[in-house]
Amino acid sequence: MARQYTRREVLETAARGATLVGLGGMGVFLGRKAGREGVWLIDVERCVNTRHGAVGVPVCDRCATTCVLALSAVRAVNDHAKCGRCYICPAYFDIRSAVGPDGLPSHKLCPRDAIVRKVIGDFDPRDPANNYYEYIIDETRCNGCGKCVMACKEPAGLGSIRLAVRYDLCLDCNRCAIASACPADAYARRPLDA
Amino acid sequence: MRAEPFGVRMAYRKVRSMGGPDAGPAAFMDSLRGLASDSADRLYAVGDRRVVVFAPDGSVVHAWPLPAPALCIAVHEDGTLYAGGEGWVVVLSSTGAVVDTWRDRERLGLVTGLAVRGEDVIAADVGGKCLRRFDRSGKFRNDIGKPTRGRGFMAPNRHLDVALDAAGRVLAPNPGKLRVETYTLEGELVGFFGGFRGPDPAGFAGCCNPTNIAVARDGRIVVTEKADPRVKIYAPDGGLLAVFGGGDFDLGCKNMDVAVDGRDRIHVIDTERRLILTYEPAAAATRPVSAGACAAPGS
Repeated sequence: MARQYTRREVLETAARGATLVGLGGMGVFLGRKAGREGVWLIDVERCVNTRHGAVGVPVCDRCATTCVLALSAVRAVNDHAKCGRCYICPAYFDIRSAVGPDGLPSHKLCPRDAIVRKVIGDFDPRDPANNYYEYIIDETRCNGCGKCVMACKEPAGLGSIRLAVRYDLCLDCNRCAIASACPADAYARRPLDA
Repeated sequence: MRAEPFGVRMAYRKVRSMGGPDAGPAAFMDSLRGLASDSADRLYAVGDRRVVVFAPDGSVVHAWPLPAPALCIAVHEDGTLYAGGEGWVVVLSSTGAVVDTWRDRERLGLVTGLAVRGEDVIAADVGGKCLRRFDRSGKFRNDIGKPTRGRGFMAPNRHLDVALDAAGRVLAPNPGKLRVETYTLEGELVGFFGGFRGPDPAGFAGCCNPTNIAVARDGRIVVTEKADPRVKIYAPDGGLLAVFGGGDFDLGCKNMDVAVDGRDRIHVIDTERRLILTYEPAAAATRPVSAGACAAPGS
Protein backbone atom coordinates (compact mmCIF):
# COMPACT_ATOMS: atom_id res chain seq x y z
CA MET A 1 0.00 0.00 0.00
CA ALA A 2 1.40 3.39 -0.98
CA ARG A 3 2.64 5.58 1.84
CA GLN A 4 0.60 8.67 2.59
CA TYR A 5 2.69 11.88 2.84
CA THR A 6 1.71 14.60 5.20
CA ARG A 7 1.34 18.18 4.00
CA ARG A 8 4.40 19.10 6.08
CA GLU A 9 6.57 16.44 4.37
CA VAL A 10 5.45 17.52 0.93
CA LEU A 11 6.29 21.16 1.69
CA GLU A 12 9.69 20.26 3.16
CA THR A 13 10.59 18.15 0.12
CA ALA A 14 9.49 20.92 -2.22
CA ALA A 15 11.55 23.45 -0.28
CA ARG A 16 14.67 21.26 -0.43
CA GLY A 17 14.21 20.77 -4.13
CA ALA A 18 13.79 24.48 -4.70
CA THR A 19 16.94 25.17 -2.69
CA LEU A 20 18.94 22.66 -4.72
CA VAL A 21 17.65 24.08 -7.97
CA GLY A 22 18.52 27.57 -6.76
CA LEU A 23 22.06 26.58 -5.75
CA GLY A 24 22.58 24.77 -9.01
CA GLY A 25 21.38 27.78 -10.95
CA MET A 26 23.66 30.02 -8.94
CA GLY A 27 26.58 27.68 -9.65
CA VAL A 28 25.84 27.69 -13.35
CA PHE A 29 25.50 31.48 -13.28
CA LEU A 30 28.79 31.95 -11.43
CA GLY A 31 30.54 29.41 -13.62
CA ARG A 32 29.37 31.15 -16.76
CA LYS A 33 30.34 34.50 -15.30
CA ALA A 34 33.81 33.19 -14.41
CA GLY A 35 34.12 31.62 -17.81
CA ARG A 36 33.25 34.91 -19.46
CA GLU A 37 35.31 37.19 -17.25
CA GLY A 38 37.98 34.68 -16.30
CA VAL A 39 39.83 34.14 -13.05
CA TRP A 40 43.21 35.25 -11.79
CA LEU A 41 45.77 32.68 -12.87
CA ILE A 42 49.55 32.40 -12.65
CA ASP A 43 51.11 31.35 -15.95
CA VAL A 44 54.03 29.09 -15.01
CA GLU A 45 55.58 29.64 -18.42
CA ARG A 46 55.86 33.34 -17.65
CA CYS A 47 56.39 33.42 -13.89
CA VAL A 48 60.04 34.27 -13.18
CA ASN A 49 60.14 31.66 -10.46
CA THR A 50 59.09 28.80 -12.74
CA ARG A 51 59.97 29.89 -16.27
CA HIS A 52 62.45 27.51 -17.89
CA GLY A 53 65.76 29.15 -18.60
CA ALA A 54 65.41 31.89 -15.99
CA VAL A 55 68.34 30.57 -13.96
CA GLY A 56 70.54 32.62 -11.68
CA VAL A 57 67.99 35.43 -11.39
CA PRO A 58 66.61 36.80 -8.11
CA VAL A 59 63.45 35.25 -6.68
CA CYS A 60 60.32 37.30 -7.40
CA ASP A 61 58.24 37.75 -4.24
CA ARG A 62 55.60 40.14 -5.60
CA CYS A 63 52.80 37.65 -5.02
CA ALA A 64 53.63 37.69 -1.31
CA THR A 65 54.29 41.39 -0.93
CA THR A 66 51.64 43.08 -3.05
CA CYS A 67 48.42 41.14 -2.41
CA VAL A 68 45.89 43.25 -0.52
CA LEU A 69 45.38 40.42 1.95
CA ALA A 70 47.58 40.29 5.03
CA LEU A 71 48.57 36.75 4.01
CA SER A 72 48.56 36.59 0.23
CA ALA A 73 46.00 34.45 -1.61
CA VAL A 74 48.89 32.86 -3.47
CA ARG A 75 50.43 29.63 -2.17
CA ALA A 76 53.21 27.32 -3.23
CA VAL A 77 51.89 24.00 -4.47
CA ASN A 78 53.97 20.84 -4.73
CA ASP A 79 53.05 18.41 -7.49
CA HIS A 80 53.83 15.17 -5.67
CA ALA A 81 53.72 13.13 -8.85
CA LYS A 82 56.61 15.20 -10.16
CA CYS A 83 58.52 15.61 -6.88
CA GLY A 84 61.78 13.64 -6.56
CA ARG A 85 61.24 12.98 -2.83
CA CYS A 86 64.87 13.95 -2.39
CA TYR A 87 67.02 13.32 0.66
CA ILE A 88 68.26 16.90 0.57
CA CYS A 89 65.61 18.99 -1.13
CA PRO A 90 66.95 22.36 -2.29
CA ALA A 91 63.50 23.86 -1.78
CA TYR A 92 63.29 22.68 1.82
CA PHE A 93 66.89 23.16 2.94
CA ASP A 94 69.18 26.11 2.45
CA ILE A 95 71.78 23.97 0.74
CA ARG A 96 74.39 26.71 1.09
CA SER A 97 74.14 26.64 4.87
CA ALA A 98 76.65 24.82 7.05
CA VAL A 99 76.27 21.18 7.93
CA GLY A 100 74.23 20.59 11.07
CA PRO A 101 74.92 17.92 13.69
CA ASP A 102 72.63 15.52 11.85
CA GLY A 103 74.63 15.85 8.64
CA LEU A 104 71.89 17.87 6.99
CA PRO A 105 71.91 21.58 6.09
CA SER A 106 71.58 23.57 9.29
CA HIS A 107 69.04 26.03 7.88
CA LYS A 108 65.76 25.72 6.05
CA LEU A 109 65.07 27.81 3.00
CA CYS A 110 61.49 28.83 3.80
CA PRO A 111 61.45 31.95 5.99
CA ARG A 112 58.05 30.92 7.36
CA ASP A 113 58.90 27.25 7.93
CA ALA A 114 55.94 26.35 5.74
CA ILE A 115 57.25 23.07 4.32
CA VAL A 116 56.92 19.82 6.23
CA ARG A 117 59.43 17.01 5.56
CA LYS A 118 58.26 13.47 6.24
CA VAL A 119 60.05 10.22 5.59
CA ILE A 120 58.18 7.85 3.30
CA GLY A 121 57.84 4.28 4.49
CA ASP A 122 60.24 2.67 6.94
CA PHE A 123 63.17 4.86 7.87
CA ASP A 124 66.64 3.41 7.24
CA PRO A 125 68.55 4.59 10.34
CA ARG A 126 71.83 3.16 9.07
CA ASP A 127 71.86 5.42 6.05
CA PRO A 128 69.59 8.50 6.15
CA ALA A 129 70.38 9.12 2.49
CA ASN A 130 68.76 5.81 1.66
CA ASN A 131 65.27 7.16 2.22
CA TYR A 132 62.64 9.03 0.29
CA TYR A 133 60.97 12.08 1.77
CA GLU A 134 57.65 13.76 1.19
CA TYR A 135 57.54 17.56 1.15
CA ILE A 136 54.18 19.06 2.06
CA ILE A 137 53.35 22.76 1.90
CA ASP A 138 51.64 24.02 5.04
CA GLU A 139 49.25 26.49 3.45
CA THR A 140 48.40 28.09 6.77
CA ARG A 141 51.98 29.38 6.83
CA CYS A 142 52.92 29.80 3.18
CA ASN A 143 52.64 33.32 1.81
CA GLY A 144 53.65 32.56 -1.77
CA CYS A 145 57.06 34.23 -1.54
CA GLY A 146 58.40 31.92 -4.25
CA LYS A 147 61.73 31.00 -2.67
CA CYS A 148 61.01 27.27 -2.71
CA VAL A 149 59.61 27.54 -6.23
CA MET A 150 62.80 29.06 -7.58
CA ALA A 151 64.96 26.57 -5.66
CA CYS A 152 63.01 23.62 -7.04
CA LYS A 153 63.22 24.81 -10.62
CA GLU A 154 65.34 22.82 -13.06
CA PRO A 155 68.22 22.27 -13.20
CA ALA A 156 68.59 22.58 -9.41
CA GLY A 157 65.44 20.57 -8.75
CA LEU A 158 62.70 18.91 -10.71
CA GLY A 159 60.33 21.85 -10.97
CA SER A 160 57.56 20.22 -8.98
CA ILE A 161 56.68 23.35 -6.98
CA ARG A 162 54.78 26.27 -8.50
CA LEU A 163 52.69 29.18 -7.30
CA ALA A 164 48.90 29.05 -7.49
CA VAL A 165 46.02 31.34 -6.57
CA ARG A 166 43.76 29.97 -3.85
CA TYR A 167 40.26 31.01 -4.89
CA ASP A 168 38.79 30.48 -1.46
CA LEU A 169 41.08 33.26 -0.29
CA CYS A 170 41.27 35.49 -3.37
CA LEU A 171 38.99 38.52 -3.18
CA ASP A 172 38.82 38.60 -6.98
CA CYS A 173 39.60 42.30 -7.06
CA ASN A 174 38.81 44.05 -10.29
CA ARG A 175 42.26 45.59 -10.30
CA CYS A 176 44.52 42.99 -8.72
CA ALA A 177 47.55 44.44 -6.96
CA ILE A 178 49.65 41.38 -7.76
CA ALA A 179 48.81 41.53 -11.46
CA SER A 180 49.77 45.21 -11.51
CA ALA A 181 53.12 44.43 -9.87
CA CYS A 182 53.97 41.23 -11.72
CA PRO A 183 57.13 41.94 -13.72
CA ALA A 184 56.50 39.15 -16.22
CA ASP A 185 52.78 39.60 -16.89
CA ALA A 186 52.36 36.10 -15.52
CA TYR A 187 49.56 36.99 -13.12
CA ALA A 188 46.56 37.75 -15.26
CA ARG A 189 42.84 37.19 -15.55
CA ARG A 190 42.23 34.45 -18.01
CA PRO A 191 39.13 32.55 -19.05
CA LEU A 192 38.76 29.20 -17.36
CA ASP A 193 38.60 27.45 -20.68
CA ALA A 194 41.82 29.09 -21.91
CA MET B 1 101.50 8.36 -14.01
CA ARG B 2 101.05 12.02 -13.24
CA ALA B 3 103.87 14.00 -11.69
CA GLU B 4 101.65 15.75 -9.13
CA PRO B 5 101.03 13.74 -5.99
CA PHE B 6 97.47 13.32 -4.84
CA GLY B 7 96.44 15.74 -2.11
CA VAL B 8 97.65 18.75 -4.05
CA ARG B 9 95.07 21.13 -5.40
CA MET B 10 95.44 21.36 -9.15
CA ALA B 11 94.47 24.17 -11.47
CA TYR B 12 92.88 23.70 -14.86
CA ARG B 13 92.28 26.20 -17.62
CA LYS B 14 89.89 26.16 -20.54
CA VAL B 15 91.77 25.77 -23.81
CA ARG B 16 89.11 25.02 -26.40
CA SER B 17 85.43 25.07 -27.21
CA MET B 18 83.98 22.89 -29.97
CA GLY B 19 80.52 22.84 -31.46
CA GLY B 20 77.89 25.53 -31.63
CA PRO B 21 75.50 26.31 -34.48
CA ASP B 22 78.21 27.49 -36.89
CA ALA B 23 80.59 24.60 -36.36
CA GLY B 24 79.72 22.74 -39.56
CA PRO B 25 79.98 18.97 -39.03
CA ALA B 26 80.81 19.56 -35.36
CA ALA B 27 77.49 21.35 -34.78
CA PHE B 28 74.88 19.56 -32.71
CA MET B 29 71.54 21.15 -33.46
CA ASP B 30 69.16 19.47 -31.00
CA SER B 31 71.16 17.63 -28.38
CA LEU B 32 74.66 16.76 -27.24
CA ARG B 33 74.58 14.09 -24.57
CA GLY B 34 77.59 11.79 -24.35
CA LEU B 35 81.39 11.85 -24.57
CA ALA B 36 84.13 9.23 -24.61
CA SER B 37 87.84 9.25 -25.34
CA ASP B 38 89.90 6.42 -26.84
CA SER B 39 93.51 5.33 -26.44
CA ALA B 40 94.58 7.59 -29.33
CA ASP B 41 92.95 10.59 -27.63
CA ARG B 42 90.20 10.81 -30.20
CA LEU B 43 86.98 12.17 -28.76
CA TYR B 44 83.59 10.61 -29.50
CA ALA B 45 80.54 12.82 -29.02
CA VAL B 46 76.98 11.57 -29.31
CA GLY B 47 73.87 13.62 -30.01
CA ASP B 48 71.40 14.38 -32.80
CA ARG B 49 71.20 10.68 -33.80
CA ARG B 50 74.88 10.56 -34.70
CA VAL B 51 78.38 10.05 -33.42
CA VAL B 52 80.97 12.67 -34.24
CA VAL B 53 84.64 11.71 -33.91
CA PHE B 54 87.15 14.45 -33.19
CA ALA B 55 90.90 14.16 -33.70
CA PRO B 56 93.08 15.29 -30.76
CA ASP B 57 93.46 18.69 -32.44
CA GLY B 58 89.67 19.15 -32.47
CA SER B 59 89.09 18.55 -36.15
CA VAL B 60 86.19 16.32 -37.17
CA VAL B 61 87.35 13.02 -38.65
CA HIS B 62 84.06 11.11 -38.83
CA ALA B 63 80.33 11.65 -38.39
CA TRP B 64 78.34 8.41 -38.25
CA PRO B 65 74.56 8.09 -38.11
CA LEU B 66 72.77 6.26 -35.31
CA PRO B 67 69.43 4.48 -35.60
CA ALA B 68 67.94 6.52 -32.73
CA PRO B 69 68.91 9.41 -30.45
CA ALA B 70 71.59 8.16 -28.06
CA LEU B 71 72.15 9.43 -24.54
CA CYS B 72 75.65 8.07 -23.87
CA ILE B 73 78.69 6.48 -25.46
CA ALA B 74 81.71 4.39 -24.47
CA VAL B 75 84.67 3.16 -26.47
CA HIS B 76 86.59 -0.09 -25.96
CA GLU B 77 90.37 -0.40 -26.16
CA ASP B 78 89.96 -2.08 -29.57
CA GLY B 79 87.92 0.82 -30.96
CA THR B 80 84.48 -0.75 -30.69
CA LEU B 81 81.83 1.79 -29.74
CA TYR B 82 78.80 1.30 -27.52
CA ALA B 83 75.99 3.87 -27.56
CA GLY B 84 72.97 3.70 -25.28
CA GLY B 85 69.46 5.06 -25.27
CA GLU B 86 65.91 4.23 -24.24
CA GLY B 87 65.65 0.46 -24.23
CA TRP B 88 68.76 -0.31 -26.26
CA VAL B 89 72.52 -0.37 -26.66
CA VAL B 90 73.96 -0.27 -30.15
CA VAL B 91 77.43 -1.61 -30.95
CA LEU B 92 79.46 0.06 -33.69
CA SER B 93 82.70 -1.06 -35.24
CA SER B 94 85.72 1.23 -35.25
CA THR B 95 84.63 2.30 -38.73
CA GLY B 96 81.17 3.33 -37.58
CA ALA B 97 79.19 0.36 -38.90
CA VAL B 98 76.39 -0.90 -36.66
CA VAL B 99 77.36 -4.49 -35.83
CA ASP B 100 74.88 -5.32 -33.09
CA THR B 101 71.89 -3.93 -31.25
CA TRP B 102 70.89 -5.06 -27.79
CA ARG B 103 67.24 -4.50 -26.99
CA ASP B 104 65.99 -5.21 -23.51
CA ARG B 105 63.14 -3.10 -22.15
CA GLU B 106 63.57 -4.62 -18.73
CA ARG B 107 67.33 -4.30 -18.26
CA LEU B 108 68.00 -1.37 -20.57
CA GLY B 109 65.05 0.78 -19.59
CA LEU B 110 66.77 4.14 -19.94
CA VAL B 111 70.52 3.93 -20.48
CA THR B 112 72.09 7.28 -19.61
CA GLY B 113 75.66 6.10 -18.98
CA LEU B 114 77.99 3.44 -20.35
CA ALA B 115 81.46 2.12 -19.53
CA VAL B 116 83.47 -0.64 -21.18
CA ARG B 117 86.75 -2.33 -20.27
CA GLY B 118 88.07 -5.77 -21.07
CA GLU B 119 85.10 -8.10 -21.43
CA ASP B 120 82.68 -5.98 -19.42
CA VAL B 121 80.12 -3.45 -20.56
CA ILE B 122 78.34 -1.58 -17.77
CA ALA B 123 75.11 0.21 -18.61
CA ALA B 124 73.69 2.76 -16.19
CA ASP B 125 69.97 2.08 -16.38
CA VAL B 126 68.13 4.84 -14.59
CA GLY B 127 64.87 3.10 -15.40
CA GLY B 128 65.92 0.19 -13.19
CA LYS B 129 67.83 2.49 -10.80
CA CYS B 130 70.95 0.33 -11.06
CA LEU B 131 73.92 -0.60 -13.20
CA ARG B 132 73.64 -3.57 -15.56
CA ARG B 133 76.74 -5.64 -16.29
CA PHE B 134 76.90 -7.37 -19.66
CA ASP B 135 79.67 -9.15 -21.50
CA ARG B 136 80.72 -7.79 -24.86
CA SER B 137 78.39 -10.10 -26.71
CA GLY B 138 75.44 -8.58 -24.88
CA LYS B 139 74.89 -11.42 -22.44
CA PHE B 140 73.63 -10.16 -19.08
CA ARG B 141 75.85 -10.98 -16.13
CA ASN B 142 74.62 -9.17 -13.00
CA ASP B 143 73.16 -6.01 -11.54
CA ILE B 144 75.26 -3.56 -9.57
CA GLY B 145 73.85 -1.28 -6.88
CA LYS B 146 70.40 -2.79 -6.87
CA PRO B 147 69.87 -4.29 -3.42
CA THR B 148 69.80 -1.29 -1.10
CA ARG B 149 66.44 -2.00 0.53
CA GLY B 150 65.25 -2.64 -2.97
CA ARG B 151 65.68 1.02 -3.81
CA GLY B 152 68.79 0.97 -5.96
CA PHE B 153 70.42 4.22 -6.90
CA MET B 154 68.64 7.41 -5.88
CA ALA B 155 68.27 9.39 -9.09
CA PRO B 156 65.49 11.95 -8.82
CA ASN B 157 67.00 13.69 -11.84
CA ARG B 158 66.44 10.58 -13.98
CA HIS B 159 70.11 10.31 -14.85
CA LEU B 160 72.89 7.89 -13.92
CA ASP B 161 76.44 7.56 -15.16
CA VAL B 162 79.22 5.01 -14.69
CA ALA B 163 82.97 4.61 -15.18
CA LEU B 164 85.47 1.76 -14.85
CA ASP B 165 88.93 2.29 -13.44
CA ALA B 166 92.10 0.44 -14.43
CA ALA B 167 91.64 -2.03 -11.58
CA GLY B 168 88.22 -3.00 -12.86
CA ARG B 169 86.27 -1.24 -10.14
CA VAL B 170 82.96 0.34 -11.01
CA LEU B 171 82.51 3.98 -10.04
CA ALA B 172 79.15 5.67 -10.23
CA PRO B 173 77.56 8.82 -8.88
CA ASN B 174 74.62 8.14 -6.63
CA PRO B 175 73.16 11.60 -7.18
CA GLY B 176 70.30 11.45 -4.71
CA LYS B 177 72.72 10.40 -1.99
CA LEU B 178 75.18 13.12 -3.02
CA ARG B 179 78.13 10.80 -3.32
CA VAL B 180 80.30 8.69 -5.60
CA GLU B 181 80.15 4.98 -4.92
CA THR B 182 82.64 2.25 -5.77
CA TYR B 183 81.56 -1.30 -6.50
CA THR B 184 83.19 -4.51 -7.51
CA LEU B 185 82.13 -5.91 -10.85
CA GLU B 186 80.08 -8.44 -8.94
CA GLY B 187 78.09 -5.63 -7.32
CA GLU B 188 79.57 -5.33 -3.84
CA LEU B 189 79.68 -1.76 -2.55
CA VAL B 190 83.25 -1.24 -1.32
CA GLY B 191 83.27 2.47 -0.56
CA PHE B 192 82.02 5.93 -1.29
CA PHE B 193 82.96 9.56 -0.88
CA GLY B 194 81.16 12.87 -0.94
CA GLY B 195 77.97 13.54 0.96
CA PHE B 196 76.52 16.87 1.95
CA ARG B 197 79.15 19.22 3.36
CA GLY B 198 77.51 22.62 3.11
CA PRO B 199 79.59 25.16 1.23
CA ASP B 200 82.68 22.91 1.35
CA PRO B 201 83.31 21.96 -2.29
CA ALA B 202 84.66 18.58 -1.21
CA GLY B 203 81.05 17.49 -0.78
CA PHE B 204 78.01 17.75 -3.00
CA ALA B 205 74.82 19.75 -2.70
CA GLY B 206 71.41 20.11 -4.28
CA CYS B 207 68.86 17.45 -4.98
CA CYS B 208 71.16 15.29 -7.06
CA ASN B 209 74.88 15.65 -7.56
CA PRO B 210 77.29 14.71 -8.97
CA THR B 211 75.66 13.74 -12.24
CA ASN B 212 78.46 12.46 -14.50
CA ILE B 213 81.79 10.75 -14.03
CA ALA B 214 85.00 9.78 -15.82
CA VAL B 215 88.19 8.19 -14.54
CA ALA B 216 91.64 9.30 -15.67
CA ARG B 217 94.27 6.72 -16.46
CA ASP B 218 96.01 7.35 -13.13
CA GLY B 219 92.80 6.78 -11.21
CA ARG B 220 91.75 10.36 -10.55
CA ILE B 221 88.01 10.76 -10.63
CA VAL B 222 86.42 13.60 -12.60
CA VAL B 223 82.80 14.52 -11.93
CA THR B 224 80.43 17.23 -13.07
CA GLU B 225 77.73 18.95 -11.08
CA LYS B 226 74.63 20.90 -11.97
CA ALA B 227 73.16 24.03 -10.36
CA ASP B 228 75.68 25.55 -10.48
CA PRO B 229 77.47 23.68 -13.26
CA ARG B 230 81.14 22.92 -12.60
CA VAL B 231 83.81 20.23 -12.76
CA LYS B 232 85.64 18.59 -9.88
CA ILE B 233 88.57 16.21 -9.66
CA TYR B 234 89.04 13.80 -6.78
CA ALA B 235 91.87 11.51 -5.81
CA PRO B 236 90.95 7.83 -5.68
CA ASP B 237 90.69 8.14 -1.89
CA GLY B 238 88.06 10.87 -2.24
CA GLY B 239 90.29 13.87 -1.54
CA LEU B 240 89.31 16.90 -3.56
CA LEU B 241 92.01 17.98 -6.01
CA ALA B 242 90.42 20.61 -8.22
CA VAL B 243 87.26 22.61 -8.85
CA PHE B 244 86.91 24.56 -12.07
CA GLY B 245 84.68 25.63 -14.93
CA GLY B 246 82.17 27.43 -12.72
CA GLY B 247 81.69 30.41 -14.99
CA ASP B 248 82.12 28.63 -18.29
CA PHE B 249 78.82 26.82 -18.63
CA ASP B 250 75.27 27.95 -19.22
CA LEU B 251 73.60 27.98 -15.80
CA GLY B 252 70.83 25.78 -17.14
CA CYS B 253 73.21 22.90 -17.87
CA LYS B 254 72.59 19.54 -16.29
CA ASN B 255 73.92 16.01 -16.73
CA MET B 256 77.06 17.30 -18.44
CA ASP B 257 79.02 14.30 -19.64
CA VAL B 258 82.78 14.31 -19.19
CA ALA B 259 85.74 12.45 -20.68
CA VAL B 260 89.47 12.44 -19.87
CA ASP B 261 92.05 11.73 -22.54
CA GLY B 262 95.59 10.44 -22.29
CA ARG B 263 96.98 13.97 -22.45
CA ASP B 264 95.18 14.68 -19.18
CA ARG B 265 92.74 16.95 -20.94
CA ILE B 266 89.22 17.04 -19.61
CA HIS B 267 86.36 17.43 -22.07
CA VAL B 268 82.95 18.52 -20.76
CA ILE B 269 79.62 19.06 -22.51
CA ASP B 270 77.69 22.31 -22.15
CA THR B 271 74.28 20.71 -22.65
CA GLU B 272 72.41 23.98 -23.19
CA ARG B 273 74.72 25.49 -25.80
CA ARG B 274 75.72 22.05 -27.17
CA LEU B 275 79.41 22.76 -26.87
CA ILE B 276 82.37 20.65 -25.80
CA LEU B 277 84.72 22.59 -23.54
CA THR B 278 88.25 21.30 -23.12
CA TYR B 279 90.45 21.94 -20.07
CA GLU B 280 94.04 21.11 -19.40
CA PRO B 281 96.20 21.37 -16.30
CA ALA B 282 97.64 24.78 -15.51
CA ALA B 283 99.90 25.54 -12.57
CA ALA B 284 99.52 23.40 -9.47
CA ALA B 285 99.20 25.02 -6.07
CA THR B 286 100.33 23.26 -2.93
CA ARG B 287 97.38 23.59 -0.60
CA PRO B 288 96.40 20.17 0.70
CA VAL B 289 92.77 19.24 0.68
CA SER B 290 91.16 16.87 3.12
CA ALA B 291 90.30 13.40 1.99
CA GLY B 292 86.69 12.37 2.16
CA ALA B 293 86.40 8.68 1.47
CA CYS B 294 84.21 6.42 3.55
CA ALA B 295 83.89 2.73 3.93
CA ALA B 296 80.72 1.18 2.67
CA PRO B 297 77.96 1.06 5.29
CA GLY B 298 78.30 -2.06 7.28
CA SER B 299 81.67 -2.95 5.83
